[in-house]
Amino acid sequence: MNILFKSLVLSFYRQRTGFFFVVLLLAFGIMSSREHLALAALIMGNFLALGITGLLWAAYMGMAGGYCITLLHQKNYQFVRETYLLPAHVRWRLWLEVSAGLSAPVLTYGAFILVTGLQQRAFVACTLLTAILLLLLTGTAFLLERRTRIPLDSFGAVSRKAVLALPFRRKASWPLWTLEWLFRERGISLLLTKTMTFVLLAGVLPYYTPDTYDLRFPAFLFLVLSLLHIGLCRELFYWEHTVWSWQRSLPHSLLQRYSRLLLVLALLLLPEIFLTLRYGNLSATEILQLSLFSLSLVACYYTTLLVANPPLEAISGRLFAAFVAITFIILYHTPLSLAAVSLLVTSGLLFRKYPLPE
Amino acid sequence: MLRVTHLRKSFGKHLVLDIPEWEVPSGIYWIQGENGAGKSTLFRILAGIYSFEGEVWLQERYSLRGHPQDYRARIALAEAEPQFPGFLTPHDLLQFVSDTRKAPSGQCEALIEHIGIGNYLHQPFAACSSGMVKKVSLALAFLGRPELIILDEPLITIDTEARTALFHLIRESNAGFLLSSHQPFAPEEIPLSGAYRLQAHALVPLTLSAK
Repeated sequence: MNILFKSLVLSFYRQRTGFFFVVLLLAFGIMSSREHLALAALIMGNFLALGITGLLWAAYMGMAGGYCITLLHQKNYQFVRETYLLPAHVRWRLWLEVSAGLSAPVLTYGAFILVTGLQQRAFVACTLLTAILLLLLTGTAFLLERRTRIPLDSFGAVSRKAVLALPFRRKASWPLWTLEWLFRERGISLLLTKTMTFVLLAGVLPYYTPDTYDLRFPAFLFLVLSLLHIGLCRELFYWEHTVWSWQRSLPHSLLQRYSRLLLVLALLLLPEIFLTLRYGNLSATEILQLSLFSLSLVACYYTTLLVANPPLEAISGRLFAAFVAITFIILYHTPLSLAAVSLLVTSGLLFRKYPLPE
Repeated sequence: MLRVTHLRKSFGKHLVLDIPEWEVPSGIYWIQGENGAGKSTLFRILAGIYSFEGEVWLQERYSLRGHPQDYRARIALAEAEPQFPGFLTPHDLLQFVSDTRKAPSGQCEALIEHIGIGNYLHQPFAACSSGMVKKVSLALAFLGRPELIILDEPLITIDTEARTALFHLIRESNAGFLLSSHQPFAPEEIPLSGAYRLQAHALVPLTLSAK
């Protein structure tokens, strides 16, 4: 990953986490996979729809490029101007990488539409779509490259307050602060995790029908989904253990602290529950069982981190063993609520040992 | 006031603290020690942040292990280099800790005024200087009704006005204090009750004239 990618692209996604989170919820929560296919077919079959799509993507790229140009005006980003000393082909490769990074959501959805267009044999539309994508990609790279060559009149003012301020008064709530920290500081981890889980749920849950399968099918899916939250658990651990270790000196009871932790994890898993309601042909009791099951799995993993702080490579073997064991528990028709309560009790007992040895 | 027995703390194989017995009555105590002697580690243990072997008692009634909530309600720590989440403001944190520590009505506002936090109360910590963050951390330590306040290097990075305000707060407070500082305290600034030196992993009493 080049330094431009790190300093511009990652910063863009970090700052726009909320926007992308809403896009993900709209893409997977409001629209079903069939509706996505229908939309792609419409875009490939109608030049007006293709034009509107191109304009929307151009607006998105304008937002992304505009954000980067604002950064390039700032004093702490002047090192980027050093790229001018590089040979042209190296410079262009770097800027194309940046542009591809910024346009990743557009490119991904564009590829999906392109595949649909090829299936429809809409070759003219496919050519136009490819041209639009290439134009956006190279156009953004060109704008950014050109921007670094134009001297500035002055440095742009950096208002940290404006970047960080909320439009309303923040509530004094540890769980909400934790989620806000995740959105602000660990947006990329949050986006990646949620993208993976949303794709998984939207891709697999529609195939579940109670006549063909029983609850073991979604239970296994939720086991995988919980496993995908390992990265976020690590981030939460960093928050609790490092960013704000001082809060451990505050007089909160064990029950308060544990219920606060469960609340944060439950709020994190809420979008997946929403998607399960949208895609899964499941009853309320089944969804409740699945929610409790995934919460208990994530809570158990998180409390293991709190009391043992093992490096990921050290815990991967144990994680795999736990994954296999829980798969067997699911396969042998163990009631999910029973498994969930057992895991929650284990997690609660582990939590009592916190603070952990340094 | 504070009693520590068989306290041991290691980071991996590196032993930092080994205090068989230590007891301090109520008063203001200066804890001295070289850089890396373990003062901050000791303070974090006493505040309930770090795990440890042994036992810590406050007022002979509240054990850190046995009564974690009651104990923590009576002890407060202002760290040497405090770190708070950058997106929060002093107002957010003061409000949260006031609620948590059940601070008496008006106490928070009085501390804000006294220490001089008012002009950046709604500015995120990320945009505050280290001195501004330090002043908030000192104000947080006085919130509620702590019986023992631990101030780790309280004088670093703060301005003269804040220093004077802090000494005034210490003199007026009914709480006991454990202070660490590489700078000596003048008797007219703080009436010290005693001093200890942290050396060879343990606390050694010092006579005040010898410090």
